[in-house]
Amino acid sequence: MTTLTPDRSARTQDGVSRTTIRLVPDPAGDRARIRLATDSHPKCPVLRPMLLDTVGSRARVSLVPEGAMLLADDHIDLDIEVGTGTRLEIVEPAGTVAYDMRGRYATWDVRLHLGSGASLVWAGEPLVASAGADVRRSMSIVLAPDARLALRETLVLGRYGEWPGRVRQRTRVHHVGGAPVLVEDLDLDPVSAPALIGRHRVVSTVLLLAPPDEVPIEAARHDRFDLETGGILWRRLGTDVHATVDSGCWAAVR
Amino acid sequence: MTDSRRTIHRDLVLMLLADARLPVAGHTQSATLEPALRAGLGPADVPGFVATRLRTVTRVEAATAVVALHHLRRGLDLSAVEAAWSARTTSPAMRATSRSQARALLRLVSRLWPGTEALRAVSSSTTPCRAVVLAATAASLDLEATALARLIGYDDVQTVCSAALKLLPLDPADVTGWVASALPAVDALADEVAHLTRPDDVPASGAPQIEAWAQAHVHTTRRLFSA
Repeated sequence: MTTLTPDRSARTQDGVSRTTIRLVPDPAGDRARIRLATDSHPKCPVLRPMLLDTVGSRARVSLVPEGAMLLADDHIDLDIEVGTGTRLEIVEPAGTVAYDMRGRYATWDVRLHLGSGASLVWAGEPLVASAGADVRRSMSIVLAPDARLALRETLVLGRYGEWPGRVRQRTRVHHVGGAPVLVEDLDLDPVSAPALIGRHRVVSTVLLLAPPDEVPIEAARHDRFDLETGGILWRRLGTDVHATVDSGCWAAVR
Repeated sequence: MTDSRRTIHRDLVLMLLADARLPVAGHTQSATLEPALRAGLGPADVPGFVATRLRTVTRVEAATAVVALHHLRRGLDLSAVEAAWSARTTSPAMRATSRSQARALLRLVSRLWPGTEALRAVSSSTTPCRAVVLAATAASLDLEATALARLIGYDDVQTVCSAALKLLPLDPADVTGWVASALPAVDALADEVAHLTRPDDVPASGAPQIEAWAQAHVHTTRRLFSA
């Protein structure tokens, strides 16, 4: 594969590529209004939200990367609001490869806000951290206790047969009002990864936060971590993506 | 009672609490070493396993205890501390283990030092975690935050290493050498967390492999240690 690396020398160090998705109920009827926006420097890659379809209070959006990513000094910022009673589904056309950053780093920050009765299904595709990549990811989620979130994430440390890159992942999930649901920092690099994830290079997770009556008790009993405040994290460690990602589990909760 | 308690030197209190002969069922714990060995870890990996725990799950526990101690000394509500710990302890098996150890410890210390305010505050919580009960013990016996964090770090190292002696054919002197080698890391951990006061400050250093082993251990019928 040949990749043309865009020249990003002209832009400032803190040039952030912002993507905003807001799905809000329309007070006039039972439809929802969606607002999709991006704000970025022309030389920077950005995640372009493409509306796939919308029916009533539901919308499907694809996050399409525009420009090569993820490279050193890329700063991707996603702000997603799913308003009261609305339903949003996010898909990604492909996974993301973070390339060798030669001592520099990239950031990938996501903020999610789910209002009362809102639902978000986000089928995340793998993030592959090549040798030499340094990605600082954060996922901050605030949701109403009766909101529903199904989130799939797959982290791959190194392309096949390669040393792991570095991924610093910060996860903060709180209920509206501040009660913590899931708080976790993972700092994975060639030195820490063997200690933290053993002899594996793939971390596949499905997070389901939902009212108790919506939790499929029988779905995927293995690799299951029932959280203290309700909700379930399925996390599987493996060596190959296809064998690690539990498609049955995702199908049951999405 | 109050006067006799004042006369006990803090060092002696710490020795008592760190002693494996304390009847709190410490011998039933391997600190996840048993499932780790079943999953393929060997004797040479044990010191690294100890170090990983000190950087992750034990760091969370020690920091939780320090923050709980601060809350107890100021009469603040403990529920936010407990919530911070449980949101950082993804494995339900590890949360259950901590709470059952907490029950045994609370039973013992409430009998030894009845009537202390900190122990009463913790007893009113339905299911305190071990870090919170240790903090109440420290508050009752006037231990400093650094000493409390050292106690938790040291206890974890000893739990792994003494379990290793039962699970692997090892020379006890070698294993004691591993404990001694881990002491600087215990000390560093204590220094790092001793000043923490807010539940949000508690580090969230996850250890997915250790958490997965802890879960797997619940479902096995062939085990020597309960966790």
